[in-house]
Amino acid sequence: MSYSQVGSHRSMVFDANRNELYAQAIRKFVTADSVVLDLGAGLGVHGLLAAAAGAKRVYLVEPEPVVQIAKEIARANGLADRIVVLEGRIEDVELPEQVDLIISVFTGNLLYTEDLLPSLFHARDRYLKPGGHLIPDYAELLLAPVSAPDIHAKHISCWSEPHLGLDFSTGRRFAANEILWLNRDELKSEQLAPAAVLSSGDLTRMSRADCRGEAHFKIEKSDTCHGLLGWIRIRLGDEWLSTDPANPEVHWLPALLPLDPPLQLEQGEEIEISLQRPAQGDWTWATKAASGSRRHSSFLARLDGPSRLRKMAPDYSPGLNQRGENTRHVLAMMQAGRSNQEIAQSLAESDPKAFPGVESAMQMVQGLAKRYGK
Amino acid sequence: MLSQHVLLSPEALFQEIGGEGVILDLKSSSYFGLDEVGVRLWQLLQADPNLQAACDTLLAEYDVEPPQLEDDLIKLVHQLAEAGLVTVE
Repeated sequence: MSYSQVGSHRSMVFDANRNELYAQAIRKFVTADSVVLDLGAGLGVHGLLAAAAGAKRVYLVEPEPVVQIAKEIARANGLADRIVVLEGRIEDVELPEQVDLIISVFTGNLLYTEDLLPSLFHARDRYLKPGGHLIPDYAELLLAPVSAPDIHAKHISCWSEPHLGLDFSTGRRFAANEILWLNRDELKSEQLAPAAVLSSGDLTRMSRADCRGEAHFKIEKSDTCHGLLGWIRIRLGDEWLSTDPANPEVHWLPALLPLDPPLQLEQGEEIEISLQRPAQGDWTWATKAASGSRRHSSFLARLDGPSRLRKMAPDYSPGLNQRGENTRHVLAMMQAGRSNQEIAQSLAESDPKAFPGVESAMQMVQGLAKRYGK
Repeated sequence: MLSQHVLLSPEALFQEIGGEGVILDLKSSSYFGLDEVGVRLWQLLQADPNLQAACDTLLAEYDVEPPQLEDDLIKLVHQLAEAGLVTVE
């Protein structure tokens, strides 16, 4: 998801349920001497709450330029003298001091989804004072087997129905391996067993951001299992925030991990569920029960899979494609201190097929300059 | 070696589109790429672990000299075994 526009932050800034729990935790930890880091600050809502709670200084760290607006918001609220905006990734910026509190929203829809936890660990290890606090400081990922016939019909079995006289059933095996991120009003499902924690972590100590867990469930009611409903719980000070669809709506979405074909389960039957995802990798979920077994993976839904994934194999020598050669050309000239105009001219001459004119070369040069220029 | 059985790892997920294939090893979380012949071999071994039978089918499907194909298959199976994606019995 892109967070480069103000509009994309609306659901987070105005997430009253989530932010009220954050605010309570912030008030618990912040004192007049507190130095606070708001990590992945966005428009700085949590950092501004910390400043409003009396923190001495608050660093807002955010890679997207949207964080610059937080300066104006701070001024409008009389908090500008306590707010320091650092635009960049936490790994790239430099905080001039240690902090007493790190506030983050890096737990994602399914805890590991956005691969942001390593950045939190980096910030914690580098900047958190001994005895300092994290908000949140503990996180859990839960799953429950559910009956969800409407969702299954709408998102998966629909692929087996002829449409306008055409057979789209090939799509079903891909759809059945995609995680469904659903708004709560669409997420009509019935749990067949109480949820269990598949993965959890003490954010003050953990250092790995991969997920591997399993749990056993006893089915409470005979029904068809269409998938596994997943959500997270995070501890904010003394309170827990859950993204369970039964709880008040928050910005984070619960997820449905489909089973296809659905599994008919009997009351009292035991089902073993496993879930794994390496950092930056694919989700794989599997069930084992007397009624049958299923295994799905987002790996099996990747349409750009084979040719791109082959390049990631440890034994593969990827070389450089033409775009890679052009990028290298541009970066070398950037390093040599040449102007964008000179670089675009040179690029257009070296690859006239890709760049019929300097203007089209300039687009690529400007993109790389924006990203990698000083 | 051709007379042996090649069993696919239950921890290996296989994905194929348009003749290219990739295996995800759930144990190591690493990817292994397969070319067209590798894809076909994997599909044949999914149905029957008999490597000789797979070789015979491939000889019927591809215009290739038997010694060359046998050599290629043995090398590939060796690589797959080293990666933990198959066991040879």
